[in-house]
Amino acid sequence: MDLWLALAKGVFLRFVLAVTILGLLRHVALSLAALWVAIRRAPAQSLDLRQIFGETLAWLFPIRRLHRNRFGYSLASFLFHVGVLFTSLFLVNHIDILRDQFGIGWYAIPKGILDLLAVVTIIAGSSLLLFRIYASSSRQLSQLSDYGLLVLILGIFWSGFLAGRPGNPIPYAWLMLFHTLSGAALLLVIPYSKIAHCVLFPLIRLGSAVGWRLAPLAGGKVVQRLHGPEGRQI
Amino acid sequence: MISNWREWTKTILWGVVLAGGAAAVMRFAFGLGVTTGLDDATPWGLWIALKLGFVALSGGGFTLAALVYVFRLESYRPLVRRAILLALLGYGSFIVSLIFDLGLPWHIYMPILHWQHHSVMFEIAWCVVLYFSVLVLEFSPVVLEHPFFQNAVLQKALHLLHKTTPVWVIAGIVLSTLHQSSLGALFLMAPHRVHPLWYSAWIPVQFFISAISAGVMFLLLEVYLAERWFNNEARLDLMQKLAQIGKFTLGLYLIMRVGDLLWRGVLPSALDGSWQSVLFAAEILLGGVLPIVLLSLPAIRQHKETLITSAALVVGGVLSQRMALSMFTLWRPAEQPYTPALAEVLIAFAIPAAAALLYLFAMENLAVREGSTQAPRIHEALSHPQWGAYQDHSLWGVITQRSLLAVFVVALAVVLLPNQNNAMATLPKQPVQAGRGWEKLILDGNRASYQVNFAHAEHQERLDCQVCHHLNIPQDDASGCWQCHSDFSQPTTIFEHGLHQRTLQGNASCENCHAGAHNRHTAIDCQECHASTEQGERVSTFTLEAPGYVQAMHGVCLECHQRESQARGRADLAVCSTCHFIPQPAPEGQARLNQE
Repeated sequence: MDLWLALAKGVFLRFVLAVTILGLLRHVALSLAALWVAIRRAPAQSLDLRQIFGETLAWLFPIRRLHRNRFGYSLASFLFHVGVLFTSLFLVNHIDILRDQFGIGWYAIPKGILDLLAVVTIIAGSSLLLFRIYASSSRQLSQLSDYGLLVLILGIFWSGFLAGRPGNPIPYAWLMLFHTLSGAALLLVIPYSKIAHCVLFPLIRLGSAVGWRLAPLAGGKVVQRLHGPEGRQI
Repeated sequence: MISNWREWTKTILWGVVLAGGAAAVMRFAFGLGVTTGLDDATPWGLWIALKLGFVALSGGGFTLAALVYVFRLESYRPLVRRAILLALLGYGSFIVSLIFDLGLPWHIYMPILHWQHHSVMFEIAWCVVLYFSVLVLEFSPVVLEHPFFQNAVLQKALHLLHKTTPVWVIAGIVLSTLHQSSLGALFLMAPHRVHPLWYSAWIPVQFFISAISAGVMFLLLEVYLAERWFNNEARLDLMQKLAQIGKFTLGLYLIMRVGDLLWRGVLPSALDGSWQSVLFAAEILLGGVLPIVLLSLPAIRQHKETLITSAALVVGGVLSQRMALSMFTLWRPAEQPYTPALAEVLIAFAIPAAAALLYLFAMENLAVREGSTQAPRIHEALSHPQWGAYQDHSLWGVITQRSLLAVFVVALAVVLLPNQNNAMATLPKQPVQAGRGWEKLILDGNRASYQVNFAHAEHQERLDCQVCHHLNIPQDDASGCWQCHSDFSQPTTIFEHGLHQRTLQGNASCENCHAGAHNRHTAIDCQECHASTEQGERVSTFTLEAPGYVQAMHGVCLECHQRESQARGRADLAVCSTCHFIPQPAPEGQARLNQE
C-alpha cells in the first residue's frame, strides 16, 4: 500500500499536474487566438476593455449580485468556489507534495481554518448537488458530467477530511490512496471539462463582447452549431 | 480531423519533435551527466554518430551542384534544388545536434574567435559555418521567389544571388570537400580507440567518397518518396542516373576500404567470429557488394522499387560505417559500457523529425520540385472572410489536435525524463561499504580506491560528536554515516510510516506522533520515543529520506572546510586532494609488482 501511495503521490501526480497545467495553457492560447481572429473579422473592432475588465471583476467577486436570483444557490456556489480554491492551494500537505515533486511552494493557511472551510465546502457542494437534482430548470440543463464532477469533488473533500481525523474507521492509507487518485482524476479532467473556467473566466466577458461585434447572421450560425444544419427557432 | 496518411505522418513527426523538445529542456536544465549515458570514458555517443550520418547524407548537395554548375550537365538540373535543400537540412541538423552535445553550448562561437590552427575541430567548425552559410545563400533564391517576398529590395537581392551563384557553388564544393574529409580525420587522432576493421590512414578520403555515394543514393530515395507524397510519378531516367553515380563511387570506396585492410594485413580479423566481424561483414556485403551487384543488372535498373531498395542498402551501409566508427566499436573500458539514455534517444530522433517537417513545409510551399508552384495555404486560411469558416478550416483542426498531442507528449516526458529531484535516482544503486578503522577512519564507500583517510580522533577533539553523528538508529549511540546514507548516490528511505502505523494500532495512534494536524511538520522528533537517536542540530525538521552517501559526506565536510579555509586563509583546506587520494602500494610491494 505504501508503494502505491508513493507512486500516486509521485510519478502519477507529476504526470497529471503536467497535463493539467499544459492543458489549461493550451486552452488559454487557443481561446486567445480564436478571439484575436474574431476581432479581426468583426466589422466593429473597438472594444471597451475597461468595461469588460470591470464586468469580469464583478463576476469574480459577486457580492452585490448574490441576492438577485436564487440567493441560496448563488451563496452555496460562491462558498463552494472559495472552499475548493483555498483548501486545494493552501493546505500544507499539498504544498509539501509540490515541493517534493517540483521544488516549488508557498505559504500555507493554518490547518484549523482549512478544516472549517472543508466542512463549509462539503455542505455547499452537497447543497449544489441537491439544487441541481430538485430544481426542474437546473435538472433540464444538466448533463451527466455536471453531476459526476460534483460527486467527484465531494468525494475528494470527504476522503481528505476523514484522513486527517484520527480514529475514523477507514484505514489511513486507503483513504489517502482514494483521495490522491480521485484528486488526480479531477486534475486530469479540468482542462477538458467545464472546470476549465478556472483559467478561462477572464476571457468569458471578452468573448461575449467580441461576439456582439460579429457580422449579422452570426446568430444563425450559432443556432446551426447548436442544433444541427436544420436549425431551430428560438 | 486527421484525414489521411500524410497528416498522420506529420502528426507522428510532431509528437517526436515535442518529446525531444521536452528532453532538450531537461538536457539544458540539468546537464549532460544527468540526462545522457555519456561520461568521461564515453564522451562520444549517439549524437556524434548521428551527426556524422547527417553530414554523409548531405553529400548530394555539393555533388549535384558540381554536376550542374561546374560540369554543365543540364539533365541533373531538376534535382539541384532538392539536393541543396537536403544538404541545408542535413547541415542544420548537424549544428543543432552539436549544440546539445557541447558541454558549454553557449561557447559554440569560440572556434571562430579563437583560432587554433593545429586543431582538426577548428577546421571542422569553420567549414561547417561557412558551408552552412553558403547553403543558405544557395537556397535563398527558392525562398525569395515565393509571392510573400515580392518586394523591390528582396527582388534585387534575388537578382544578385542569381548572378553570383557560381561563386557560392564553387565555395560550397571546396568547403564540403574539406569538411567531409576532416570529419574522418578526427579518427586519425585516436587510432588506439578505433577498431582495426574500421581504422584506416585513408579515413578522410573514405569519408569524402562514401559521402558522395550516400548523398546521391539518399537523393534518389527522396525523389521517389517525395513524388509519391505529391501523387506524382518519379522520373526513372533521373533515378537511373543517380544510381549510376552512387554505384561508381560506392565501388571506389569499397576498393579503398577493403584494399587498405588487405594491405595492412587486418582483413583476416574479419573472420574471427566476433560481433565486430559480423557487423563489418554485414556492412560490406549488404551495404556495399550487394547494391553494386544489383545495380549492375539491367533488369534491376528498370524498376523504381528495386532502385530504391539498392539505394536504401547503400545509405544503410554508409550510416553503419559512421555509427560503428564513432559509437559501436569505439574502445571504452569494459566496466563502463555505454547505453544511450532516454533523453539522448528522444533528442536524437527529434532532430531528424524536425528536419523532415521543415522539408515537408518547404516542399509544399516553395518551388523546390520540378514544375511545382507555391501554395500559400496559410494566407488562404487567415484571410478567409468568415469566422465560422476559419474554425472549420483544416489548419484550425490541425492546430487544435497537435496542441493536444503536445500536452500529453510533454507531460509524459516530464514523468519519464530525469529532473532535479530524481537526478540521482538515474545513477545505479550501489550499497555503501562501512568505513574501516577508528582513529584514522578509512572512508571508501564504493571501494573505488578514491578514498578519504579521515582523522577521526583529531576531529573528535575539535568538534562535538553530534556534528557528524546527527541521528542515531534506535538503540545505538554513534551510528555510522553509511547506516542511513546507505546508497552511494541515491537517497534512501529511513522512516517507514506504514510500519509505525501498523505497530501502533492504526488511525487511533496518529496523535501519538502528530501534534494536531496530520503532516510531516507536526511529527514529533524520533528521540521522543527512541531516546538513543539523539537528534543533532543538523536535522532540524523530520525527513523521510537520507541523501545519498556522497551528497551527505560532502554536505557535512565541505561546509566546515570551506569556512575554515576562508577564516585561516588556507586555500588548500577546501580542495579535493586535501581529503581524497588514491592509495599507492608500499615501496616494497611496488617493487615486487614490478618484478612480477
